[in-house]
Amino acid sequence: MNYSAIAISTRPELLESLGREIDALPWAEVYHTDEQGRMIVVIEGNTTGLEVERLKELKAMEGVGFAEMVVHYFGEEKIPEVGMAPDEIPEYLNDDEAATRANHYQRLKAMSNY
Amino acid sequence: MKSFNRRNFLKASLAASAASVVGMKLPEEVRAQFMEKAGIPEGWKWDKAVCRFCGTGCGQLIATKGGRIIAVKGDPEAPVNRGLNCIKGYFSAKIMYGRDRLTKPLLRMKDGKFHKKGKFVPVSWEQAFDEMERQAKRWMAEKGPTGVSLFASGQYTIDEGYAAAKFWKAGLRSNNIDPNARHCMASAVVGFYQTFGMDEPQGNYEDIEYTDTVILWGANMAEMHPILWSRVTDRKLTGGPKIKIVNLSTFRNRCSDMADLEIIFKPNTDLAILNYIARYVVENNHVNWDFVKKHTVFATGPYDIGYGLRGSEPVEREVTLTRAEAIAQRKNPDKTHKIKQNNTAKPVKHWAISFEDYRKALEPYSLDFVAKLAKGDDEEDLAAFKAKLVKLAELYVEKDRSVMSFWTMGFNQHVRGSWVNELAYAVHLLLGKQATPGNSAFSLTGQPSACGTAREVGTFAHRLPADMLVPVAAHRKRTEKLWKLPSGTLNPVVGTHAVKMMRELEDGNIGFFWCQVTNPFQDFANLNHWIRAARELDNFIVCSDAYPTISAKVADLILPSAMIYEKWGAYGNAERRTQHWRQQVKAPGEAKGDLWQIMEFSKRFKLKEVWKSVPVKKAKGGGLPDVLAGAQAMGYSPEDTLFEVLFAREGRKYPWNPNDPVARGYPNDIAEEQGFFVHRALWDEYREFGIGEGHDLAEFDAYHSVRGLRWPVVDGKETLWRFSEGHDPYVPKGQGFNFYGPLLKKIPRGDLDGPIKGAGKVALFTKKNRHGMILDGKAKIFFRPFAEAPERPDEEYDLWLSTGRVLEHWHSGTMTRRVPELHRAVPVAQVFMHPADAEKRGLKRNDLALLESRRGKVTTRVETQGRNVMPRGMVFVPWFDEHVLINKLTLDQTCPMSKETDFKKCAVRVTRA
Repeated sequence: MNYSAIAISTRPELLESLGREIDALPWAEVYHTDEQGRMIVVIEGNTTGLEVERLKELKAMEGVGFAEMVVHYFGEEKIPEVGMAPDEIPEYLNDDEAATRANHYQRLKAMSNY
Repeated sequence: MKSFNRRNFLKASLAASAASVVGMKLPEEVRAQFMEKAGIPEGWKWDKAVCRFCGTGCGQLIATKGGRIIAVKGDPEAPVNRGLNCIKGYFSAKIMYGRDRLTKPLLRMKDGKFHKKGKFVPVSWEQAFDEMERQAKRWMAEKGPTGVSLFASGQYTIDEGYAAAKFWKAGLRSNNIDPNARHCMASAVVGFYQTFGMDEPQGNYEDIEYTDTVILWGANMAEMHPILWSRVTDRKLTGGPKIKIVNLSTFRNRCSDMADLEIIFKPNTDLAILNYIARYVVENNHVNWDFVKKHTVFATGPYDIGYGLRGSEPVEREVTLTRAEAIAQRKNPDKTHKIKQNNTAKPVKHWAISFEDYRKALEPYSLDFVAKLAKGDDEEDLAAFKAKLVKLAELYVEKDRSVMSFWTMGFNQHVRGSWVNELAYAVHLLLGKQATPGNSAFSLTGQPSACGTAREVGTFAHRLPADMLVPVAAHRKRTEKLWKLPSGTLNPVVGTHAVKMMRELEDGNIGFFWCQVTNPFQDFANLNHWIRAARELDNFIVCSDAYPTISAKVADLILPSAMIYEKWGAYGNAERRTQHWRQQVKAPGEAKGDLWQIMEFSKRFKLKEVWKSVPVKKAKGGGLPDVLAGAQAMGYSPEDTLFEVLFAREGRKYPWNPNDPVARGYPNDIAEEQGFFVHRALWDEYREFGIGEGHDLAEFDAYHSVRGLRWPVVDGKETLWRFSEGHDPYVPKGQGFNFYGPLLKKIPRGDLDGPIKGAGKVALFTKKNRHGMILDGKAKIFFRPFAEAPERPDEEYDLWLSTGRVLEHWHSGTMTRRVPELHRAVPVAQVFMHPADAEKRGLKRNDLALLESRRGKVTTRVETQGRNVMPRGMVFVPWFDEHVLINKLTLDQTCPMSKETDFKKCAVRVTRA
């Protein structure tokens, strides 16, 4: 599981209702608030991609003035072996240009660990 | 009440940590439980580091556990970003964990041997260096030191760049080393040299919190420098109604959302707008005469300097002035002016002029002339545009209003990039609004160490460390002394700048080409030529990288490189701040740092092979002298390797001790392997160059207890505003300002037509101290005319093409495209165009379009909405996408002074694909 702590700012009078709304989300939890309308929310997600989606969701909520990731923890994210095997040659390097083009996005997808 | 299992504990710790970053006050029991225990959660080790990406230089905290980085946060103690980070920054550790990290050297082979047309095969480092050695020596035997080249990087750490420059220039005696910063900051460098006699900005980021006015000239800070932009927007939102932002650009970008004034201008007319402002200052008596008389002189130079294209191009020999150019040069616009380009070889020469001449030169730049010339949006009303120009000038001149001008690639990647830099300083200097808090003309950088590495340590073809220059005998002498080289070792002939490096490759004059931490076969303009040269001609291309880039694919040998936190290093950001970090984790497989690669390769050369007499065409007598006798007198043996002489001899004075207070608990692979603390040894040696020269750096260990220091660091104190009394220790009391940069401080006296014979020279200082430092130096206020770009839209190719970056991707996307969330956000480089321009060509949003220039073509999708709003007649394509190699279309035109490519202007046509 990945966790990210998000700093959010809102108008002080909205703090309580917005906090309740966020706390009701299954993947978010409000930890700290202050009288200036700031709060710290921790979100979770299996992948960073999912977390970014969720951050966007928070940003889009009514009353949210600012929402940015402050701490990003990805220590438990499953990462397959980093780097190529000793005898591995990426097909891309020995391909001709045309084949490269066709495979380009599959390649980017395949080589990504996340 | 939450139950504190491990998961909740972790989340609570992250929350507490985030709260402290943004400055929220936490209840005492929360602090005690989550904040004040070191290494929370258990086994985590946090250390300070620096972001891998742009030139802003944000500080980060990196957590490692079990040999892997597991968390990243903005460093609340970092003065640059104060705990914040942009989206790229958060992923700056993840870029190391791609599935396709290169882990073994790969060589093109056929039948067990290197073959140019062979397929890549994994080889050992030993085999890789064997082939590199064979090839480098072969080309050096055939062509001398100019037959080999190293394309370096503003992403090198400081020690990597320093070692690379030393190895190439002192060891191989080749000045053919030049960084990708040539494409990025070279025009800023020439602007600084010409105006102040010394590189790099006077001010710093704190100016943002002092200033009343932020004026952007071709800098899309909102996307390219988002953390600095957040400081600008904070200033705007909290500073009251006086704070103004102006966005000048050739198309609308995200900065306009926050701007009070948006000025969309035609390509290259920034030159005319700046001259209009200067004219406004002069004609309305806003010149700060106290400042100008005491601290400046007026100057100009030749106009007939070409466009940095190959000499065979007709415009490099003769140019027919456009009507606007004729007016701008005080010529009769109704006549034809064919101007021979007589100064393409010496574009930087310049001379002092009188104020009356300066005023005369500005005369043509009236509001009427400049507004008609510069208005970039056909749909905008001319009167409205004029009003904006007046407003802009008023902001600059307003009494008691402080002003910052920022620029990035809009100015620097410009066929008159050095001129336009100089003109920005001219406006600030005329007003005396420079080098004081809130008053600053500031060139932002694009790479993390374009300043610290590429510029300061001298990885340019013409530079030596600490602003010294290859062709200056006294500078070579000092360098030879500090590097402990026999006299005459250094090659006095300036090497090939980046663009010329590719041309020499194409012409067969360079046969060995090595690139490190950069992706030239995606980055250079007019790419088809260079890719063909690399693949089809007899040469040997080595590419050191962490991932298989286009340049790796084009290469003959690929070397797997260690990345940012897999090695010790330091970067220098745009505000002269030097920041060091420690190695946190090990590189995967057999990947090795660039410093290790340089040092290991230097073991392959003996003094007798490189310090003998060697041919260099342009050197006196056709070559460099044999310096082996001198070397022997210094205690070297002809059998010594370059590694021994350049690195190990001094290095052994710094034996590696894993319990060293700075190093304890952190890996240092290269030090363990070489047996000495390589980074500290190189730092101490490099530091010698700047002490007492206005380039002073602190001691190595000092940087590990602070969040960077801005040079010059004198008596442990950093300098916030250079050249300014009370801020810069090099300015004597009572002097006010001292523009002490030593370069180009004596210039001929002349008028607008040229130097006047027999009129003597003007000295820009009268006093020096006993160390030779200038005590009362002056800066130059330049006049430079408006000039067009050489290739402009016509009937055949009817649109301007500009290229650039987007927020989510950095440069050629090698790293950022490995992070899927960044990749997904902007997967493809689109062509941004005006909806009417699209419609006229039968295109709409998301259609596939064919883009063609005289040099190449690509297909990509049309975007008519979104972040960049194009005026009619112009399209924009970002260059991060190796699938849309837009640099096949761009033109290898450069500023003739800085040799920096103009990637912002060429002519294309767009049709349905």
